[in-house]
Amino acid sequence: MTCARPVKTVAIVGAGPGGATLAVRLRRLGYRVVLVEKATFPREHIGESLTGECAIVLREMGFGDAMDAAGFPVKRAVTVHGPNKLNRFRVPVQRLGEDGVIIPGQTWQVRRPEFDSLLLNGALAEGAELIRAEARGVLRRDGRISGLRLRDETGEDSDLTADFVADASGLQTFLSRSGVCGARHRGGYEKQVAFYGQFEGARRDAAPDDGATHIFYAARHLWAWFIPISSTVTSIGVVTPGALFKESGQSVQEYLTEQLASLHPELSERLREAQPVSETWSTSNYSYHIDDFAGDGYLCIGDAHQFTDPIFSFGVSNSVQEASLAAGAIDGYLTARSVDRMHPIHTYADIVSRAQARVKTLIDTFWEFPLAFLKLAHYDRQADIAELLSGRLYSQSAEMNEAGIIMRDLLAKRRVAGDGRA
Amino acid sequence: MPAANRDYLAAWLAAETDLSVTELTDTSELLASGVLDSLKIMDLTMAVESDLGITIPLEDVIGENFATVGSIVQMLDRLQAG
Ligand SMILES: Cc1cc2nc3c(=O)[nH]c(=O)nc-3n(C[C@H](O)[C@H](O)[C@H](O)COP(=O)(O)OP(=O)(O)OC[C@H]3O[C@@H](n4cnc5c(N)ncnc54)[C@H](O)[C@@H]3O)c2cc1C
Repeated sequence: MTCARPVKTVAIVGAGPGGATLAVRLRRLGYRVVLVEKATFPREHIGESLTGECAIVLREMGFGDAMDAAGFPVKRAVTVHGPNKLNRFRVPVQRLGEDGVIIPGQTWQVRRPEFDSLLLNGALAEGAELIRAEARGVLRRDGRISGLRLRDETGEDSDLTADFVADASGLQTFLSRSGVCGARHRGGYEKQVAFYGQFEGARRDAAPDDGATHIFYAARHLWAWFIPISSTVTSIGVVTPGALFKESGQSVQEYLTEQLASLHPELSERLREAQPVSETWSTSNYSYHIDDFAGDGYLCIGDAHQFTDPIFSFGVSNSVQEASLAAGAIDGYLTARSVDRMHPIHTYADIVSRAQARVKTLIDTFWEFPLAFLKLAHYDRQADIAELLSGRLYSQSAEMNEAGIIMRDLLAKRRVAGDGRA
Repeated sequence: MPAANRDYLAAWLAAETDLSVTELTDTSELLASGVLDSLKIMDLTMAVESDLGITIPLEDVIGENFATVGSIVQMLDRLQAG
Protein backbone atom coordinates (compact mmCIF):
# COMPACT_ATOMS: atom_id res chain seq x y z
CA MET A 1 0.00 0.00 0.00
CA THR A 2 1.78 3.08 -1.20
CA CYS A 3 -1.00 5.56 -1.81
CA ALA A 4 -2.02 7.02 1.53
CA ARG A 5 -5.71 7.89 1.36
CA PRO A 6 -7.35 9.63 4.27
CA VAL A 7 -8.97 7.02 6.48
CA LYS A 8 -12.74 7.10 6.08
CA THR A 9 -15.13 7.08 9.02
CA VAL A 10 -18.16 4.86 9.47
CA ALA A 11 -20.61 5.80 12.23
CA ILE A 12 -22.70 2.94 13.63
CA VAL A 13 -25.81 3.57 15.71
CA GLY A 14 -26.23 0.84 18.33
CA ALA A 15 -23.58 -1.42 19.84
CA GLY A 16 -25.62 -4.63 20.14
CA PRO A 17 -24.47 -7.81 18.36
CA GLY A 18 -25.12 -6.30 14.92
CA GLY A 19 -23.30 -3.04 15.56
CA ALA A 20 -20.37 -4.70 17.30
CA THR A 21 -19.94 -7.26 14.50
CA LEU A 22 -19.99 -4.55 11.88
CA ALA A 23 -17.43 -2.57 13.88
CA VAL A 24 -15.04 -5.53 14.07
CA ARG A 25 -15.37 -6.23 10.34
CA LEU A 26 -14.83 -2.61 9.30
CA ARG A 27 -11.84 -2.14 11.60
CA ARG A 28 -10.25 -5.16 9.96
CA LEU A 29 -10.81 -3.49 6.59
CA GLY A 30 -8.98 -0.41 7.89
CA TYR A 31 -11.82 2.04 8.54
CA ARG A 32 -12.22 4.41 11.43
CA VAL A 33 -15.31 3.17 13.25
CA VAL A 34 -17.37 5.13 15.76
CA LEU A 35 -20.06 3.25 17.66
CA VAL A 36 -22.80 5.42 19.13
CA GLU A 37 -24.65 3.69 21.96
CA LYS A 38 -27.10 5.27 24.36
CA ALA A 39 -27.15 2.48 26.96
CA THR A 40 -24.41 1.64 29.44
CA PHE A 41 -23.26 -1.95 28.97
CA PRO A 42 -23.84 -4.51 30.31
CA ARG A 43 -27.56 -4.01 29.75
CA GLU A 44 -30.50 -6.41 29.67
CA HIS A 45 -31.80 -7.50 26.28
CA ILE A 46 -34.20 -10.11 24.96
CA GLY A 47 -32.97 -12.77 22.49
CA GLU A 48 -30.84 -15.49 24.04
CA SER A 49 -30.82 -18.41 21.63
CA LEU A 50 -28.29 -18.38 18.80
CA THR A 51 -28.29 -20.44 15.58
CA GLY A 52 -25.61 -22.78 14.30
CA GLU A 53 -24.64 -20.32 11.59
CA CYS A 54 -24.30 -17.53 14.15
CA ALA A 55 -21.79 -19.69 16.06
CA ILE A 56 -19.81 -20.27 12.87
CA VAL A 57 -19.63 -16.53 12.21
CA LEU A 58 -18.62 -15.78 15.82
CA ARG A 59 -15.84 -18.39 15.69
CA GLU A 60 -14.66 -17.12 12.34
CA MET A 61 -14.38 -13.62 13.83
CA GLY A 62 -12.24 -15.04 16.65
CA PHE A 63 -14.79 -15.02 19.49
CA GLY A 64 -14.93 -18.83 19.90
CA ASP A 65 -12.59 -19.14 22.87
CA ALA A 66 -14.18 -16.25 24.74
CA MET A 67 -17.65 -17.71 24.11
CA ASP A 68 -16.54 -21.13 25.36
CA ALA A 69 -14.91 -19.56 28.42
CA ALA A 70 -18.07 -17.61 29.27
CA GLY A 71 -19.82 -20.86 30.16
CA PHE A 72 -22.84 -20.32 27.95
CA PRO A 73 -24.99 -23.47 27.60
CA VAL A 74 -24.30 -25.44 24.43
CA LYS A 75 -27.33 -25.82 22.15
CA ARG A 76 -27.34 -28.86 19.88
CA ALA A 77 -31.01 -28.98 18.92
CA VAL A 78 -34.44 -27.46 19.09
CA THR A 79 -37.45 -29.61 19.89
CA VAL A 80 -40.84 -28.35 18.79
CA HIS A 81 -43.83 -29.69 20.73
CA GLY A 82 -47.27 -29.40 19.17
CA PRO A 83 -50.68 -29.43 20.81
CA ASN A 84 -50.71 -33.15 21.54
CA LYS A 85 -47.97 -35.19 23.10
CA LEU A 86 -47.09 -37.16 19.98
CA ASN A 87 -46.72 -34.18 17.71
CA ARG A 88 -43.12 -33.35 18.40
CA PHE A 89 -40.04 -33.08 16.25
CA ARG A 90 -36.42 -32.42 17.00
CA VAL A 91 -34.31 -30.32 14.67
CA PRO A 92 -30.56 -30.69 15.24
CA VAL A 93 -28.16 -27.81 14.79
CA GLN A 94 -26.27 -28.92 11.71
CA ARG A 95 -24.49 -27.92 8.59
CA LEU A 96 -24.24 -29.57 5.21
CA GLY A 97 -20.77 -30.55 4.05
CA GLU A 98 -19.59 -30.08 0.45
CA ASP A 99 -20.94 -33.42 -0.72
CA GLY A 100 -24.24 -33.12 1.09
CA VAL A 101 -23.16 -35.00 4.21
CA ILE A 102 -24.73 -33.68 7.36
CA ILE A 103 -22.27 -32.46 9.94
CA PRO A 104 -23.71 -32.16 13.46
CA GLY A 105 -23.21 -28.67 14.82
CA GLN A 106 -23.69 -26.70 17.96
CA THR A 107 -24.13 -23.17 19.15
CA TRP A 108 -24.67 -21.24 22.37
CA GLN A 109 -27.55 -19.94 24.45
CA VAL A 110 -26.40 -16.59 25.81
CA ARG A 111 -27.00 -14.26 28.72
CA ARG A 112 -27.35 -11.10 26.68
CA PRO A 113 -25.76 -8.60 29.11
CA GLU A 114 -22.55 -10.68 29.07
CA PHE A 115 -22.71 -11.64 25.40
CA ASP A 116 -23.29 -8.13 24.12
CA SER A 117 -20.46 -6.80 26.31
CA LEU A 118 -18.14 -9.53 25.08
CA LEU A 119 -18.74 -8.52 21.45
CA LEU A 120 -18.53 -4.81 22.18
CA ASN A 121 -15.25 -5.25 24.06
CA GLY A 122 -14.00 -7.24 21.08
CA ALA A 123 -14.84 -4.32 18.79
CA LEU A 124 -13.12 -1.85 21.12
CA ALA A 125 -10.05 -4.10 21.25
CA GLU A 126 -9.94 -3.88 17.44
CA GLY A 127 -9.76 -0.10 17.78
CA ALA A 128 -13.39 0.93 17.33
CA GLU A 129 -14.35 4.08 19.25
CA LEU A 130 -17.42 4.23 21.47
CA ILE A 131 -19.46 7.35 22.16
CA ARG A 132 -22.04 7.11 24.93
CA ALA A 133 -24.82 9.18 23.42
CA GLU A 134 -28.16 8.95 21.71
CA ALA A 135 -28.28 9.50 17.96
CA ARG A 136 -31.06 12.05 17.46
CA GLY A 137 -30.93 12.71 13.74
CA VAL A 138 -28.78 12.73 10.65
CA LEU A 139 -26.59 15.43 9.14
CA ARG A 140 -26.79 16.02 5.40
CA ARG A 141 -24.49 17.69 2.95
CA ASP A 142 -25.65 18.20 -0.64
CA GLY A 143 -28.62 15.99 0.14
CA ARG A 144 -26.44 13.08 1.19
CA ILE A 145 -26.06 11.75 4.72
CA SER A 146 -22.87 13.12 6.22
CA GLY A 147 -23.10 12.16 9.87
CA LEU A 148 -25.17 12.11 13.05
CA ARG A 149 -26.57 14.56 15.54
CA LEU A 150 -25.89 13.27 19.03
CA ARG A 151 -27.05 14.08 22.53
CA ASP A 152 -25.05 12.77 25.47
CA GLU A 153 -26.37 11.89 28.93
CA THR A 154 -25.76 15.40 30.27
CA GLY A 155 -28.02 16.79 27.53
CA GLU A 156 -25.11 18.17 25.53
CA ASP A 157 -25.60 18.10 21.72
CA SER A 158 -22.83 17.47 19.24
CA ASP A 159 -22.29 16.51 15.59
CA LEU A 160 -20.39 13.49 14.37
CA THR A 161 -19.34 13.64 10.73
CA ALA A 162 -18.96 10.36 8.90
CA ASP A 163 -18.52 9.06 5.37
CA PHE A 164 -21.15 6.41 5.98
CA VAL A 165 -23.86 5.80 8.56
CA ALA A 166 -24.95 2.28 9.53
CA ASP A 167 -28.06 1.73 11.61
CA ALA A 168 -27.87 -1.18 14.08
CA SER A 169 -30.32 0.37 16.54
CA GLY A 170 -32.59 -2.67 16.72
CA LEU A 171 -36.31 -2.07 17.36
CA GLN A 172 -35.60 1.65 17.65
CA THR A 173 -35.23 1.70 13.84
CA PHE A 174 -33.30 4.94 14.07
CA LEU A 175 -32.83 5.74 10.35
CA SER A 176 -36.45 4.97 9.59
CA ARG A 177 -37.60 7.25 12.39
CA SER A 178 -35.22 9.93 11.16
CA GLY A 179 -37.04 9.90 7.83
CA VAL A 180 -34.11 8.44 5.90
CA CYS A 181 -35.59 5.09 4.83
CA GLY A 182 -38.84 4.37 3.00
CA ALA A 183 -42.21 3.34 4.31
CA ARG A 184 -42.60 1.21 7.41
CA HIS A 185 -44.96 -1.77 7.09
CA ARG A 186 -46.54 -3.74 9.87
CA GLY A 187 -45.56 -7.39 9.92
CA GLY A 188 -47.97 -10.30 10.10
CA TYR A 189 -47.11 -10.90 13.75
CA GLU A 190 -47.51 -7.39 15.07
CA LYS A 191 -50.53 -8.17 17.22
CA GLN A 192 -48.46 -10.63 19.24
CA VAL A 193 -47.28 -9.91 22.77
CA ALA A 194 -44.42 -11.67 24.57
CA PHE A 195 -44.19 -12.21 28.34
CA TYR A 196 -41.00 -13.63 29.75
CA GLY A 197 -38.72 -14.11 32.71
CA GLN A 198 -35.91 -16.26 34.07
CA PHE A 199 -36.45 -19.34 36.22
CA GLU A 200 -34.36 -21.67 38.33
CA GLY A 201 -35.14 -25.35 38.71
CA ALA A 202 -36.78 -25.98 35.32
CA ARG A 203 -36.27 -29.57 34.18
CA ARG A 204 -33.72 -29.82 31.36
CA ASP A 205 -32.99 -32.67 28.99
CA ALA A 206 -30.20 -35.02 30.06
CA ALA A 207 -26.65 -34.08 29.03
CA PRO A 208 -25.39 -33.50 26.40
CA ASP A 209 -28.76 -32.04 25.41
CA ASP A 210 -29.18 -30.01 28.60
CA GLY A 211 -28.75 -26.78 26.63
CA ALA A 212 -31.47 -27.57 24.08
CA THR A 213 -34.22 -25.13 23.19
CA HIS A 214 -37.82 -26.29 23.49
CA ILE A 215 -40.70 -24.62 21.72
CA PHE A 216 -44.24 -25.47 22.81
CA TYR A 217 -47.33 -24.41 20.91
CA ALA A 218 -50.91 -24.79 21.95
CA ALA A 219 -52.85 -23.17 19.16
CA ARG A 220 -52.23 -20.84 16.27
CA HIS A 221 -49.91 -18.02 17.40
CA LEU A 222 -49.89 -19.16 21.04
CA TRP A 223 -46.54 -20.61 22.04
CA ALA A 224 -43.77 -20.65 24.60
CA TRP A 225 -39.96 -20.81 24.56
CA PHE A 226 -37.69 -22.67 26.95
CA ILE A 227 -34.04 -21.60 26.63
CA PRO A 228 -31.39 -22.64 29.17
CA ILE A 229 -29.07 -19.65 29.71
CA SER A 230 -26.82 -20.95 32.49
CA SER A 231 -26.29 -24.23 34.32
CA THR A 232 -29.27 -23.38 36.53
CA VAL A 233 -31.25 -20.57 34.92
CA THR A 234 -33.75 -21.00 32.07
CA SER A 235 -35.32 -18.18 30.08
CA ILE A 236 -39.01 -18.85 29.60
CA GLY A 237 -41.44 -16.79 27.59
CA VAL A 238 -44.98 -16.97 26.33
CA VAL A 239 -46.03 -15.35 23.08
CA THR A 240 -49.72 -14.79 22.59
CA PRO A 241 -52.17 -12.85 20.48
CA GLY A 242 -52.54 -9.49 22.25
CA ALA A 243 -56.33 -9.85 22.23
CA LEU A 244 -56.18 -12.97 24.42
CA PHE A 245 -54.20 -11.09 27.03
CA LYS A 246 -56.58 -8.12 26.95
CA GLU A 247 -59.63 -10.33 27.35
CA SER A 248 -58.08 -12.08 30.33
CA GLY A 249 -58.06 -8.86 32.37
CA GLN A 250 -54.96 -10.22 34.13
CA SER A 251 -51.71 -8.51 35.04
CA VAL A 252 -48.57 -9.37 33.08
CA GLN A 253 -47.38 -11.49 35.99
CA GLU A 254 -50.69 -13.35 36.40
CA TYR A 255 -50.99 -13.97 32.70
CA LEU A 256 -47.51 -15.46 32.41
CA THR A 257 -48.06 -17.68 35.44
CA GLU A 258 -51.37 -18.95 34.13
CA GLN A 259 -50.11 -19.58 30.60
CA LEU A 260 -47.08 -21.46 31.88
CA ALA A 261 -49.39 -23.71 33.85
CA SER A 262 -51.87 -24.33 31.04
CA LEU A 263 -50.21 -23.86 27.65
CA HIS A 264 -48.70 -27.32 27.28
CA PRO A 265 -48.63 -30.32 29.65
CA GLU A 266 -44.95 -31.00 29.07
CA LEU A 267 -44.04 -27.38 29.74
CA SER A 268 -45.92 -27.31 33.02
CA GLU A 269 -44.32 -30.61 33.99
CA ARG A 270 -40.85 -29.19 33.27
CA LEU A 271 -41.67 -26.14 35.39
CA ARG A 272 -43.12 -27.99 38.38
CA GLU A 273 -40.17 -27.14 40.64
CA ALA A 274 -39.25 -23.87 38.92
CA GLN A 275 -38.98 -20.54 40.73
CA PRO A 276 -38.80 -17.12 39.04
CA VAL A 277 -35.48 -15.35 39.58
CA SER A 278 -36.20 -12.22 37.56
CA GLU A 279 -39.02 -9.79 37.16
CA THR A 280 -41.57 -10.49 34.41
CA TRP A 281 -40.94 -8.54 31.22
CA SER A 282 -43.22 -7.96 28.26
CA THR A 283 -42.84 -6.62 24.75
CA SER A 284 -45.17 -6.06 21.80
CA ASN A 285 -45.39 -4.50 18.34
CA TYR A 286 -42.11 -5.95 17.16
CA SER A 287 -43.19 -7.19 13.72
CA TYR A 288 -42.45 -4.84 10.80
CA HIS A 289 -40.30 -4.19 7.78
CA ILE A 290 -38.96 -1.01 6.28
CA ASP A 291 -38.49 -0.12 2.59
CA ASP A 292 -35.31 1.40 1.16
CA PHE A 293 -33.22 0.29 4.11
CA ALA A 294 -29.98 0.74 2.19
CA GLY A 295 -29.15 3.78 0.08
CA ASP A 296 -26.67 6.49 -0.74
CA GLY A 297 -24.40 6.70 2.29
CA TYR A 298 -26.45 4.60 4.69
CA LEU A 299 -27.78 1.13 5.42
CA CYS A 300 -29.64 -0.70 8.18
CA ILE A 301 -28.86 -4.13 9.60
CA GLY A 302 -31.01 -6.66 11.42
CA ASP A 303 -33.89 -5.43 13.54
CA ALA A 304 -33.16 -1.87 12.40
CA HIS A 305 -35.10 -2.64 9.22
CA GLN A 306 -37.03 -5.90 9.75
CA PHE A 307 -38.23 -8.24 12.43
CA THR A 308 -40.88 -10.88 11.81
CA ASP A 309 -41.35 -13.09 14.83
CA PRO A 310 -39.04 -14.67 17.40
CA ILE A 311 -40.19 -18.31 17.12
CA PHE A 312 -37.08 -19.67 15.39
CA SER A 313 -34.52 -17.48 17.18
CA PHE A 314 -33.14 -15.84 14.06
CA GLY A 315 -32.71 -12.32 15.48
CA VAL A 316 -29.08 -12.18 16.59
CA SER A 317 -28.07 -14.61 13.86
CA ASN A 318 -29.54 -12.37 11.17
CA SER A 319 -28.06 -9.18 12.62
CA VAL A 320 -24.60 -10.73 12.77
CA GLN A 321 -24.81 -12.11 9.23
CA GLU A 322 -26.18 -8.86 7.83
CA ALA A 323 -23.38 -6.98 9.61
CA SER A 324 -20.85 -9.20 7.87
CA LEU A 325 -22.44 -8.56 4.47
CA ALA A 326 -22.79 -4.86 5.26
CA ALA A 327 -19.06 -4.51 5.94
CA GLY A 328 -18.31 -5.69 2.41
CA ALA A 329 -20.99 -3.45 0.94
CA ILE A 330 -19.78 -0.37 2.82
CA ASP A 331 -16.19 -1.08 1.79
CA GLY A 332 -17.35 -1.44 -1.81
CA TYR A 333 -19.27 1.82 -1.62
CA LEU A 334 -16.43 3.79 -0.08
CA THR A 335 -13.77 2.51 -2.48
CA ALA A 336 -15.71 2.47 -5.78
CA ARG A 337 -15.70 5.27 -8.34
CA SER A 338 -18.77 7.34 -7.69
CA VAL A 339 -20.76 6.02 -10.69
CA ASP A 340 -20.39 2.45 -9.42
CA ARG A 341 -20.72 3.02 -5.74
CA MET A 342 -24.41 2.10 -5.40
CA HIS A 343 -23.86 -1.35 -6.84
CA PRO A 344 -22.60 -3.01 -3.60
CA ILE A 345 -25.39 -1.31 -1.67
CA HIS A 346 -28.04 -2.69 -4.00
CA THR A 347 -26.49 -6.14 -3.84
CA TYR A 348 -26.60 -5.97 -0.05
CA ALA A 349 -30.26 -4.92 -0.07
CA ASP A 350 -31.11 -7.71 -2.48
CA ILE A 351 -29.42 -10.53 -0.54
CA VAL A 352 -30.86 -9.30 2.75
CA SER A 353 -34.40 -8.95 1.38
CA ARG A 354 -34.30 -12.49 0.01
CA ALA A 355 -33.05 -13.89 3.31
CA GLN A 356 -35.70 -12.02 5.29
CA ALA A 357 -38.34 -13.31 2.87
CA ARG A 358 -37.15 -16.85 3.67
CA VAL A 359 -37.55 -16.14 7.39
CA LYS A 360 -41.12 -15.07 6.74
CA THR A 361 -41.83 -18.08 4.54
CA LEU A 362 -40.63 -20.46 7.24
CA ILE A 363 -42.65 -18.80 9.98
CA ASP A 364 -45.79 -18.38 7.87
CA THR A 365 -45.69 -22.03 6.81
CA PHE A 366 -45.21 -23.15 10.40
CA TRP A 367 -48.39 -21.34 11.50
CA GLU A 368 -50.57 -21.67 8.40
CA PHE A 369 -49.69 -25.22 7.39
CA PRO A 370 -48.57 -26.84 10.65
CA LEU A 371 -49.17 -30.36 9.29
CA ALA A 372 -47.29 -29.67 6.08
CA PHE A 373 -44.45 -28.15 8.12
CA LEU A 374 -44.35 -31.21 10.34
CA LYS A 375 -44.26 -33.43 7.25
CA LEU A 376 -41.34 -31.49 5.77
CA ALA A 377 -39.40 -31.17 9.02
CA HIS A 378 -39.92 -34.70 10.25
CA TYR A 379 -40.19 -36.83 7.09
CA ASP A 380 -39.78 -35.37 3.62
CA ARG A 381 -37.09 -32.69 3.94
CA GLN A 382 -35.44 -33.11 7.32
CA ALA A 383 -31.98 -31.99 6.28
CA ASP A 384 -33.30 -28.96 4.37
CA ILE A 385 -35.37 -27.74 7.29
CA ALA A 386 -32.48 -28.27 9.71
CA GLU A 387 -30.31 -26.26 7.33
CA LEU A 388 -32.74 -23.33 7.34
CA LEU A 389 -33.34 -23.50 11.09
CA SER A 390 -29.58 -23.47 11.58
CA GLY A 391 -29.81 -19.91 10.30
CA ARG A 392 -28.21 -20.45 6.89
CA LEU A 393 -30.47 -18.02 5.08
CA TYR A 394 -28.11 -15.65 3.28
CA SER A 395 -26.08 -18.02 1.12
CA GLN A 396 -26.39 -19.44 -2.37
CA SER A 397 -27.30 -22.80 -0.83
CA ALA A 398 -30.30 -21.20 0.88
CA GLU A 399 -31.49 -19.98 -2.51
CA MET A 400 -31.59 -23.60 -3.71
CA ASN A 401 -32.95 -25.19 -0.53
CA GLU A 402 -35.74 -27.49 -1.74
CA ALA A 403 -37.85 -27.17 1.39
CA GLY A 404 -37.61 -23.39 1.11
CA ILE A 405 -38.86 -23.53 -2.48
CA ILE A 406 -41.66 -25.97 -1.58
CA MET A 407 -42.86 -23.71 1.26
CA ARG A 408 -42.75 -20.61 -0.90
CA ASP A 409 -44.84 -22.34 -3.57
CA LEU A 410 -47.24 -23.64 -0.95
CA LEU A 411 -47.89 -20.15 0.40
CA ALA A 412 -48.18 -18.75 -3.13
CA LYS A 413 -50.86 -21.33 -4.01
CA ARG A 414 -52.80 -20.35 -0.94
CA ARG A 415 -52.62 -16.69 -1.96
CA VAL A 416 -53.89 -17.50 -5.43
CA ALA A 417 -56.66 -19.67 -4.00
CA GLY A 418 -57.74 -16.64 -1.96
CA ASP A 419 -59.60 -17.42 1.22
CA GLY A 420 -60.53 -20.90 0.03
CA ARG A 421 -59.09 -22.47 3.13
CA ALA A 422 -59.75 -19.76 5.71
CA MET B 1 -64.53 -46.21 -7.97
CA PRO B 2 -65.15 -43.88 -5.06
CA ALA B 3 -66.19 -46.73 -2.77
CA ALA B 4 -62.72 -48.23 -3.02
CA ASN B 5 -61.14 -45.26 -1.26
CA ARG B 6 -63.70 -45.35 1.48
CA ASP B 7 -63.14 -49.08 2.02
CA TYR B 8 -59.40 -48.56 2.11
CA LEU B 9 -59.77 -45.82 4.71
CA ALA B 10 -62.10 -47.91 6.84
CA ALA B 11 -59.64 -50.79 6.83
CA TRP B 12 -56.72 -48.50 7.62
CA LEU B 13 -58.58 -46.86 10.50
CA ALA B 14 -59.55 -50.24 11.90
CA ALA B 15 -55.96 -51.46 11.76
CA GLU B 16 -54.20 -48.30 12.91
CA THR B 17 -56.59 -46.61 15.33
CA ASP B 18 -59.04 -47.43 18.09
CA LEU B 19 -62.00 -46.86 15.81
CA SER B 20 -64.06 -49.89 14.80
CA VAL B 21 -65.45 -50.12 11.28
CA THR B 22 -68.99 -50.73 12.45
CA GLU B 23 -69.12 -47.29 14.09
CA LEU B 24 -67.99 -45.59 10.92
CA THR B 25 -70.10 -42.99 9.14
CA ASP B 26 -69.11 -40.21 6.77
CA THR B 27 -69.51 -37.66 9.53
CA SER B 28 -67.45 -39.59 12.08
CA GLU B 29 -65.18 -37.00 13.70
CA LEU B 30 -61.57 -38.07 13.42
CA LEU B 31 -59.62 -35.00 14.50
CA ALA B 32 -61.87 -33.50 17.15
CA SER B 33 -62.33 -36.92 18.73
CA GLY B 34 -58.60 -37.56 18.79
CA VAL B 35 -58.77 -40.69 16.60
CA LEU B 36 -56.25 -38.98 14.34
CA ASP B 37 -53.42 -36.81 15.58
CA SER B 38 -50.83 -35.12 13.46
CA LEU B 39 -48.46 -38.07 13.41
CA LYS B 40 -51.25 -40.45 12.46
CA ILE B 41 -52.13 -38.09 9.63
CA MET B 42 -48.53 -38.38 8.43
CA ASP B 43 -48.79 -42.18 8.55
CA LEU B 44 -52.04 -42.06 6.61
CA THR B 45 -50.67 -39.78 3.87
CA MET B 46 -47.76 -42.16 3.40
CA ALA B 47 -49.95 -45.27 3.43
CA VAL B 48 -52.28 -43.72 0.87
CA GLU B 49 -49.33 -42.89 -1.32
CA SER B 50 -47.81 -46.38 -1.27
CA ASP B 51 -51.06 -48.41 -1.25
CA LEU B 52 -53.34 -46.33 -3.49
CA GLY B 53 -50.74 -44.44 -5.47
CA ILE B 54 -52.39 -41.16 -4.52
CA THR B 55 -49.98 -38.40 -3.60
CA ILE B 56 -51.47 -35.88 -1.22
CA PRO B 57 -49.85 -32.56 -2.05
CA LEU B 58 -48.73 -30.39 0.87
CA GLU B 59 -51.46 -27.83 0.31
CA ASP B 60 -53.96 -30.57 1.06
CA VAL B 61 -52.22 -31.68 4.25
CA ILE B 62 -54.45 -29.43 6.33
CA GLY B 63 -56.72 -30.23 9.24
CA GLU B 64 -59.97 -29.62 7.33
CA ASN B 65 -59.22 -32.45 4.91
CA PHE B 66 -58.70 -34.92 7.75
CA ALA B 67 -61.56 -33.82 9.97
CA THR B 68 -64.03 -36.61 9.13
CA VAL B 69 -64.21 -39.84 7.17
CA GLY B 70 -66.20 -37.97 4.55
CA SER B 71 -63.66 -35.20 4.14
CA ILE B 72 -60.80 -37.66 3.69
CA VAL B 73 -62.69 -39.74 1.13
CA GLN B 74 -63.73 -36.60 -0.72
CA MET B 75 -60.11 -35.47 -0.89
CA LEU B 76 -58.88 -38.87 -2.07
CA ASP B 77 -61.55 -39.05 -4.77
CA ARG B 78 -60.73 -35.53 -5.93
CA LEU B 79 -57.01 -36.24 -6.10
CA GLN B 80 -57.57 -39.52 -7.91
CA ALA B 81 -59.78 -37.83 -10.47
CA GLY B 82 -56.72 -35.62 -11.14
C1 LIG C 1 -39.94 -11.81 22.33
C2 LIG C 1 -38.64 -11.87 21.59
C3 LIG C 1 -37.81 -13.00 21.71
C4 LIG C 1 -36.59 -13.06 21.01
N1 LIG C 1 -35.83 -14.19 21.11
C5 LIG C 1 -34.69 -14.27 20.38
C6 LIG C 1 -33.84 -15.41 20.45
O1 LIG C 1 -34.11 -16.38 21.18
N2 LIG C 1 -32.72 -15.43 19.71
C7 LIG C 1 -32.37 -14.37 18.90
O2 LIG C 1 -31.34 -14.43 18.23
N3 LIG C 1 -33.14 -13.28 18.82
C8 LIG C 1 -34.27 -13.20 19.54
N4 LIG C 1 -35.02 -12.06 19.47
C9 LIG C 1 -34.56 -10.97 18.60
C10 LIG C 1 -33.35 -10.24 19.19
O3 LIG C 1 -33.72 -9.62 20.39
C11 LIG C 1 -32.84 -9.19 18.21
O4 LIG C 1 -33.01 -9.63 16.91
C12 LIG C 1 -31.38 -8.83 18.40
O5 LIG C 1 -31.12 -8.36 19.68
C13 LIG C 1 -30.98 -7.79 17.36
O6 LIG C 1 -29.65 -7.38 17.55
P1 LIG C 1 -29.18 -5.96 17.04
O7 LIG C 1 -27.73 -5.86 17.31
O8 LIG C 1 -29.64 -5.77 15.64
O9 LIG C 1 -29.99 -4.92 17.91
P2 LIG C 1 -30.07 -4.75 19.51
O10 LIG C 1 -29.49 -5.93 20.18
O11 LIG C 1 -31.47 -4.40 19.81
O12 LIG C 1 -29.14 -3.53 19.80
C14 LIG C 1 -29.49 -2.21 19.46
C15 LIG C 1 -28.72 -1.23 20.31
O13 LIG C 1 -28.92 0.08 19.79
C16 LIG C 1 -29.03 1.00 20.85
N5 LIG C 1 -29.75 2.17 20.33
C17 LIG C 1 -31.00 2.19 19.83
N6 LIG C 1 -31.33 3.43 19.40
C18 LIG C 1 -30.24 4.20 19.61
C19 LIG C 1 -29.96 5.58 19.34
N7 LIG C 1 -30.85 6.39 18.75
N8 LIG C 1 -28.74 6.05 19.68
C20 LIG C 1 -27.82 5.23 20.27
N9 LIG C 1 -28.04 3.94 20.55
C21 LIG C 1 -29.24 3.42 20.20
C22 LIG C 1 -29.77 0.23 21.93
O14 LIG C 1 -29.52 0.77 23.21
C23 LIG C 1 -29.19 -1.18 21.76
O15 LIG C 1 -28.10 -1.41 22.61
C24 LIG C 1 -36.22 -11.98 20.17
C25 LIG C 1 -37.04 -10.86 20.07
C26 LIG C 1 -38.24 -10.79 20.75
C27 LIG C 1 -39.11 -9.59 20.60
